[in-house]
Amino acid sequence: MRRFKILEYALASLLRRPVKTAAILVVYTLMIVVLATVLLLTHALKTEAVNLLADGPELVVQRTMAGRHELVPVAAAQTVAAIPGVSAATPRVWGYYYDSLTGANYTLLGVDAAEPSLELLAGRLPQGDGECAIGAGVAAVRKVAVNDDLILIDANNIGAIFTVTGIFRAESRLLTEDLLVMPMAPLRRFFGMPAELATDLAVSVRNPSEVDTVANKVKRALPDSRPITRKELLRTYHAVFDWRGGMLLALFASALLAFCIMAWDKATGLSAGERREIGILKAVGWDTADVLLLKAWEGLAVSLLAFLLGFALAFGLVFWWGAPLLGVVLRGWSVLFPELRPTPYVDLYQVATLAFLTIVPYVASTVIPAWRAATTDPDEVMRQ
Amino acid sequence: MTPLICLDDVRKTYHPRRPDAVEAVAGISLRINAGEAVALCGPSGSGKTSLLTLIGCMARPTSGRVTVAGEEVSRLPERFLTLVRRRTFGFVFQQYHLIPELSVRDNVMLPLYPEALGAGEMARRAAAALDEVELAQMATRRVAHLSGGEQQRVAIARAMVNRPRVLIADEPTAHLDSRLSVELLDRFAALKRAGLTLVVATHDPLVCAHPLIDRTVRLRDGRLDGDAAT
Ligand SMILES: Nc1ncnc2c1ncn2[C@@H]1O[C@H](COP(=O)(O)OP(=O)(O)O)[C@@H](O)[C@H]1O
Ligand SMILES: [Mg+2]
Repeated sequence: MRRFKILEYALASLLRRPVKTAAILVVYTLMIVVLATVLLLTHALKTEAVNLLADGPELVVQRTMAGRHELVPVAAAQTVAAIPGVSAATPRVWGYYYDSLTGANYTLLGVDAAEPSLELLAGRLPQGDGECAIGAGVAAVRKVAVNDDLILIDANNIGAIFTVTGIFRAESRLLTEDLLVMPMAPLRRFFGMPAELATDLAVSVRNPSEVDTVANKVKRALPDSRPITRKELLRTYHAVFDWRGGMLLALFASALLAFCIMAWDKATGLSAGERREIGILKAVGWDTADVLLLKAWEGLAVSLLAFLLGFALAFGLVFWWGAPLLGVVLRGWSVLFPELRPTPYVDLYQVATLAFLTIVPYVASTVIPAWRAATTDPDEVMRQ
Repeated sequence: MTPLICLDDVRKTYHPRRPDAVEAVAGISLRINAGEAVALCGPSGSGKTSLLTLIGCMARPTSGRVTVAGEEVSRLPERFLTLVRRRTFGFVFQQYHLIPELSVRDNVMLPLYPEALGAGEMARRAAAALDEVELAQMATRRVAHLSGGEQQRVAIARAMVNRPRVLIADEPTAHLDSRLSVELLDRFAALKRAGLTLVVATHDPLVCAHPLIDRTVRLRDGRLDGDAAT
């Protein structure tokens, strides 16, 4: 009862200083928006990467020569398939295409059979020469729809015409956004890749716990190969996003520090009026604990409101408006991705961390300066 | 009859152990009975305000004993001292010490927050206290917009809202003209008739000579200079 009475008084005193309260609220909210955006985006991109790779093969086998990625002989598939524990080894044909028209990179993928992970939004998968299916991002930058033609420059620097037969669903945008799919044979021709070579091998393993063992066996059977497990890929993705996220966090940590100093100095360094008010409250019978409770409520009300507002804004920014600026920095590697809208997801642990790191220092910076004023004898107030 | 307030050789030194140490109260023993009206008179700087803070449990003496209603308060930890102060004493400060941005009613309610009272009870008590000082119709006005005399009445209402046994007033006529001073003393007389104990610090002869005052205690340089029943 007493606590809520004092809360009531705290809210009233915040409203009594509307300009000051609003100023703090705005700065604080912006701060939270920035921090929460970085956190949410880093996390969302990591989640996207996991989703993306969950559909991929457990093991990918590349060939390396002089430390560089080389094409794999299709025949190597048989060698790998013969290794115990391997249920299938499929040569894959894929590569990148730089579209000078739009300045974007596309991923070109050869698909002969229907791929369950590639869900079409409209149309059908390409079946013959001169047909392709594309991701929503490609469709958007090239402004094409199903049945439209798409011209790409092939390895011989000759324009090749493809009819768009389908557009992919945006289930996982990171997966399909920049994708362009056509059958293997025309893709080989487009890339100028000999029929006996493939980009890499997709290996499925019967028992998922044996992936590492199988990878070792592949390395022994094919000394020039580089087996990459899904786990390793995930780790790389995480590291990349964490590194970028970390850079941004460092940037904003300094902003946070500046904010804390401001908060300490301006918002909560007691004004003469506030000091006087504390003196009066003590003189009319408020306990030190009552005064500190009042200040704690004030700090909590401001920081909680700013936190909720800021977090909600950041959430909208990341998941609905596609993080216009930060996303580019974080994702970096493709110009098609600014359209990305990750699946909304909130990690409670992260929310708690952010809340703790922002609310606690603020409340402390509200209560601590009041401490001195609250612990002096109230007779001091009779002197002023 | 045991006195309500008992001071035994009380001393108060401001910033002791410093070259500018001031012994504002230099060994005073005093007894105040319930229902009594006592005036502390003396020139400026004689220690009246300091003595009031000691009587009213606003500060602890440097040495000596203060007893209120049989309880030695000079030894109580701060929390209990606050409680005794809030329940036993009402203060009317020389500068009133109201919060100017708050309404009259909100100022009067200030001492009620630490008591676990419901909103209705708080409002009821504040209204009753404002009624006593004829300010009921100004309850929602901002204190900053009131005249000095009205502000003092708000301060009296705030002092009375917790129904204290003792009203302490520091130089209550300092900012009033003679008509308002008489009005104030009549108000104090009414409170005294209702059973309240009054302790008033003043250097205004009008107050010391008023029939409501039972006893005048003269102070000089922090010491008693005479304790006379009037
Ligand atoms: N908080 C304080 N710090 C230092 N000196 C003080 C303080 N309060 C009072 N004094 C000094 O104590 C003496 C008595 O002051 P006070 O009790 O206010 O007397 P009065 O109310 O009779 O004018 C004065 O010399 C004053 O300067
Ligand atoms: Mg004085």
